[in-house]
Amino acid sequence: MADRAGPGAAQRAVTPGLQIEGIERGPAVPIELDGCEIDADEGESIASAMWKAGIRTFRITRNLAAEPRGYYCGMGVCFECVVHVEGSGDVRACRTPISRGMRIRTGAR
Amino acid sequence: MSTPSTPIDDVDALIVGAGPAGLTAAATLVEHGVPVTVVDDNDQGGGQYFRQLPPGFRERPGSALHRDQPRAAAALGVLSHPLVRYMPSTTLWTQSGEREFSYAGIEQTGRLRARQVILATGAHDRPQPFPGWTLPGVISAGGCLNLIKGQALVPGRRVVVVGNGPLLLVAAYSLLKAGVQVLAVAEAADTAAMLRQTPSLLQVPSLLALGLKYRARLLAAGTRFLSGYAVVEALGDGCVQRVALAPLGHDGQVLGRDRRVYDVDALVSGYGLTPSSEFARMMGLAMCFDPLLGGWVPERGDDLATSMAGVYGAGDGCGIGGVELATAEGRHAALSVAARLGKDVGAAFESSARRLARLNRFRRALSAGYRLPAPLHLARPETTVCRCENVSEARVAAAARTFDGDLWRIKSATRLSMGSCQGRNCLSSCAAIVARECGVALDTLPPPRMRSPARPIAIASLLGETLGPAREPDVDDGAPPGAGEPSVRPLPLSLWS
Repeated sequence: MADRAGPGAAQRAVTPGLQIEGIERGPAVPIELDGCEIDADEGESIASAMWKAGIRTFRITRNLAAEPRGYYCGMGVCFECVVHVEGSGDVRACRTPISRGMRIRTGAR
Repeated sequence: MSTPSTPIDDVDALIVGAGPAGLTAAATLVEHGVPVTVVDDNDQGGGQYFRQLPPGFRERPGSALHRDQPRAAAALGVLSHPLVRYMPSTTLWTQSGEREFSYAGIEQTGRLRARQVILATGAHDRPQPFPGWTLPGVISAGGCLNLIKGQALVPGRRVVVVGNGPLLLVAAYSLLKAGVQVLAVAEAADTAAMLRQTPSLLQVPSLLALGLKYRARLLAAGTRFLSGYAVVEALGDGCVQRVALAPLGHDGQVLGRDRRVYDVDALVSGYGLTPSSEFARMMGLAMCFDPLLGGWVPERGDDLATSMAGVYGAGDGCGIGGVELATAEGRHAALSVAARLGKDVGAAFESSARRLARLNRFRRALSAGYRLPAPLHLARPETTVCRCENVSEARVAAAARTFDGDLWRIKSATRLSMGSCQGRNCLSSCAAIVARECGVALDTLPPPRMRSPARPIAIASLLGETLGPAREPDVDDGAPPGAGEPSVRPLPLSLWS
C-alpha cells in the first residue's frame, strides 16, 4: 500500500455545530490522525470523528487521477471511506468505532 | 472451502439480518416457542431504519434527533430473549451446503445448518452517477440518515437533497429537525404521476399523512421543493461547495434551462434503493425483475417462501417497501416457518396476509407514483460510474457497444465491479447504460451473478482460522488495540463469474 502523507491535517476547515442537540456524546478521547491529535467521542465511528473535525477526504484514489474520496454510503457497502488504522490495517471508517490512542492515516488507498 | 475443523451448528430457524424484518420475524418465532439464531453484519441490531447511537451516547428528552426509538427499543428487545442466539458483527459469506452457510465473525468463524431460513437482508442506496458525485461531501441518503441516527451528526449546515422516492423526504425532514438549513429538495418525479395514485395511497392513510407532514414542515421552514428536477453537477475544491439543479426532460436527461445553483456544505443524493439480494442470488434462488420493487428480487409465494425449500424472504431485500411492509413480511414469513416446524399459528396467518396485501397495494402505488418515465441519464462521458476502479461512463458505454451488452465481457474489458464494493455501487448504473446503448429493456438483462464471499472478509476467515487483528510490517508490538472490525483487504472478486 502506498503511504503518502494524508490530506487530513491540511484541510481542516471545521464547520461548527454538526452535533445534534440533545444528545450526550461519549467522553472525549484523543486519537491521532495523520500525525495530528484530534478529539473523538468514545463510541463514535472513525468517520464521525473525522467529519466532526472538518475532514471530508478519507482517501485518495490509487490511480493516476488521484481523486479525493470520502464517506458516502455510511453502511459499509461502498468502501469509499477506507482509512488505515495502525495495528488493524485498512478498515471502513463508517463501521469502525474509535478507541483511545488509535492512530489513523488517510492517503492513497 | 471450510476446513474439516470448522464447527457446524444445527439450528431450527436462522434469520439473516437484524433490521425491522429480521427482528419482527425473530419476535414472532419466539412467540411460538421456536428458538432462533439471528446473524447480523452490523455491530448493533436495528438495521438501517432502527439504527442505534453508539453505546455510551444518551438522548435527552426533546432532542433534535428524528427517530422512532420507542418502537426500535421494543423491536430490539427480542435479541436478549432466552430463545434467541444473536450473532452481531457476523457475515454469512457463503453457502456450503443445503441451508448450510459459513460465517465470519470478529472472533470466530464457523458454519450454521438450518432447518428453516428467513432472509431479511435489507437494502442499500441505488447509486446514480452525476458529474461531481464522487466529491467528498456528496453523500447518499442512507449515509445521511446513518450519520444522523447512528452518530448524532449532521453532514452540514446548508444542505441540498436530490433524488427520487420517499427516502428523500425522510432525509430532508431529519435534517430539518436537527437544525439544518435544507435549501432545496429536488425530486426527479413529477407530482402529476403521484396524484394519479391517490386512491391507492389512501389505503394506508397514516403513511400518506406522514409524507404530507414532512413536506409541510419543510415548506414552512423555507425549503424549496422542485418536482421534476434533478442534479446537474456538484462542484467544489476538494469538497462539495456548490450544486446545480435543472428540470428533467422526458429522456431522463437534465434540460439546459431554468438552472438553479445553491451554495452548500453537503449534498445528499438518494435516487432510490436497491434490494440487497446478493446473498439470495448466490444461493441460486429464482429471481425476478420488478421495477416497482427496486430491481432483482427473489421470487416468493403467498407464504413468502422462495424457490428453495425451507428458505423464506422478508423485507426490503425482497423488494423495497419500507419499515411497515418489512415488519409485516417479517411476521408473515415467521408464521410460515412456525407452521412448517409444527407450531399452531391459528388465525394469525390469515390476518397477517390481509395486512400484507393492503401494505403491498400501498407500496406498489407509491413506487408507481415515483416511477420515472425514462431511466435517468445524469452522467457525462467523463463521469465515474464504477467508483472502486474509476471506470468512466464513456468506457462502459463503449464496452457495452463493442460487446453487445455482454456483462461478463464489459467487466473483463473495463474492471467495472471488480473492486471492494463487489459491484453494489455500479451494477445498476451499468445495466442502465447497457439498456440505453444496446436498445434493450432492463428486465431482459440477466441478474448479476454473485460469487462468494458475499462481502469482503479477512483471508483468515477463508482458512477457517480464528481471527485476530491483522499485522503489518509497520506495526510494532506496542501498537494500540485493533479496531472493531477485521481488516478488509479487498479480494479480487466480483458479482459476475
